[in-house]
Amino acid sequence: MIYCPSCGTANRDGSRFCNHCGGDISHVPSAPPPLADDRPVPPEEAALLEEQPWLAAAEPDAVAPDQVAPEVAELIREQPWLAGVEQDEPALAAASSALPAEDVASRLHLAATDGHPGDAPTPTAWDAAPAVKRHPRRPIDPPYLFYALLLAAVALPLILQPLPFWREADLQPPIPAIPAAVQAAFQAVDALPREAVVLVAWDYDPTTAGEMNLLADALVGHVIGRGAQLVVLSLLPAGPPLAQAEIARLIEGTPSLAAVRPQPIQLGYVPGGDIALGLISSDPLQAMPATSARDSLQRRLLLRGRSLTGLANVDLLLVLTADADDGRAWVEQVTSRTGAPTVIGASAAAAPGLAPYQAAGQVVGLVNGYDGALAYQSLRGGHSTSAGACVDAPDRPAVCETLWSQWGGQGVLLLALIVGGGAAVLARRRRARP
Amino acid sequence: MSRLHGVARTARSKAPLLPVAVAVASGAVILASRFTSWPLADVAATVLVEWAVLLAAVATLFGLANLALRHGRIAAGWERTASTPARSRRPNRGRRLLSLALLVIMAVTLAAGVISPEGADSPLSTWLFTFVQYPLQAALFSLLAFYMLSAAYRALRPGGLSAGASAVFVLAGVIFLLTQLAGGEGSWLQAVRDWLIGVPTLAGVRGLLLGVALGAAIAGLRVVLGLSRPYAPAEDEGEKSP
Repeated sequence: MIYCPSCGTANRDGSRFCNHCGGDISHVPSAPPPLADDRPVPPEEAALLEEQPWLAAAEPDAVAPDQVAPEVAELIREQPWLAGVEQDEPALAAASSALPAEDVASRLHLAATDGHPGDAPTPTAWDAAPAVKRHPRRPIDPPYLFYALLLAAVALPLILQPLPFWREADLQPPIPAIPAAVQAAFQAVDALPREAVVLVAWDYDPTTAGEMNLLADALVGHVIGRGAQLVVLSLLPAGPPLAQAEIARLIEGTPSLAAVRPQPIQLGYVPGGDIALGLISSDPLQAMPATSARDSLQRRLLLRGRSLTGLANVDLLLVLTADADDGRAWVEQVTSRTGAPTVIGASAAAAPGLAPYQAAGQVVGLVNGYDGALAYQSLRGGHSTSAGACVDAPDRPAVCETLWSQWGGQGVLLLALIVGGGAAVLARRRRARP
Repeated sequence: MSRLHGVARTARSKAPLLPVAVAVASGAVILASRFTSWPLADVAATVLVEWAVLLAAVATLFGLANLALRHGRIAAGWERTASTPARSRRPNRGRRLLSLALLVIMAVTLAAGVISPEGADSPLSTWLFTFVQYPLQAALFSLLAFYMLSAAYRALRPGGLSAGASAVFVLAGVIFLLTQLAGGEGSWLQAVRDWLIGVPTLAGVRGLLLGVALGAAIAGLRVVLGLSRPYAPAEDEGEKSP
């Protein structure tokens, strides 16, 4: 067996990566499995159990043999009497999986040797065992403190912002300048003719709606405001109902959009994933479910003297996605084949994977994340800076409310990186000390 | 080595010819539609892709049936699960109740869409989506922030990545977060961030995309040439990647 030094999982001999956490175990030597519960009791252990019966009250399921960290397993092999302590104390057993294995091992060393690692065990060490059992203590895991901090950093700004004192202070975190890719996207949408047909790929689901809805509000709101005909489809089953709800909310909440009386066409879910993209690029109507919406689309397009037999007739392809692979598939399977001008609204996580297409000119514009949504809304409001959109109270977009939460969350993440990294470096130095 | 090749050849020759021929022909037609302007290839490719889309839709139905069957067996206590205790033959009551709940909810959702003339836009379907699926999915994903935080805190812990890789990870994270947090408009930190995103990150992603494209091209060619057979039955599995 090879025991993962990271999580303690037992892996088969010859494994290079841990089956549980994926950690590199190629350099970890193979070790025999720890003693099973039904092993024959050695005479010295039997004598020990007779003297100290609490050690026999082992809970077999407290910790599975293959969950024991390798250092602890090694220690138990060297000093078998510790196996009883490990199994007898659920809190300690739980700690062995929750804490770095070295810490548990060093604690057991200290408990067994009265503070001198490497020394032979003394009776005083065993005297401590029942005390541990009577007062089980689970050490506070530092990440729990950070979890609380993260929760506060995200929730507090959302709670405080509606209050008058916060509004009067009119504070904003540092906001970056408007990126060139966002400006290009804005110009592409702003240049759409009145009768334009815009195909929207609504390729995100409720999982990422918190971020993506802000982008959709900015981009789709602008498209509707230009008087274009919106045609919406999705490669995800949960995409169409989300699109329907979000577009309805957007129109209801924005009087200027409601005045346009938009009639977006919902084509629904197109099964097949990336395979369907080939069909959409060659014959979009054929790829769509034969519903009344499709017939309605055909009628409306014919009224405008247009057709959808080929995406060349589409004035703009707007892809809203939280997955870089999905965005990439649209660009490679549809944009490259049809030449349809494409604007992508992507989550911040997906954007790096799509940025090369924008830099190479295959995609007209790329709007991503909270910052991108804010920058786009600022441009829509006629501002020259991203911060401008959050100054005007009447048209203040929803994304302004999230800026402090985002800033606070990122701050806590930075703090955790620095504190966690610092603690680990100190621990390494301490261990390296003779 | 030569013995291995011999074994591979023998196994390959025993593989059914028809699936290989269909896969090779389909791949060739799709490739021809991409790289030639032959109208017949275009028509044939469109038909093939339509079939693939239909198959995907039917596969969803099979998946649904399989899910219902599996959870029906668990709910009835006929099938063990991964969480079933070693000494027990039947899954525990909680697990069976969960499977039962899944079946009931699945039936209600399905009925709401099938019975209503409005289909998937029926009021009950919309209600289920808005008040059950949406918050559940969003809430589950929000936990990612806590996982990220935990990962950030433990990045340098011994036993995970090597010390060098961990240090690079932490340093990159600190620099990006610092420039993000303090890099407002006009700040030199924003210039640093823009450069980091525009030069090293973009170059890295381009490299990745090129690698992915080359890998996909090779994998596709192997399927088209019949060297890889992901569609082959299980006994031919060893020959998937000779």
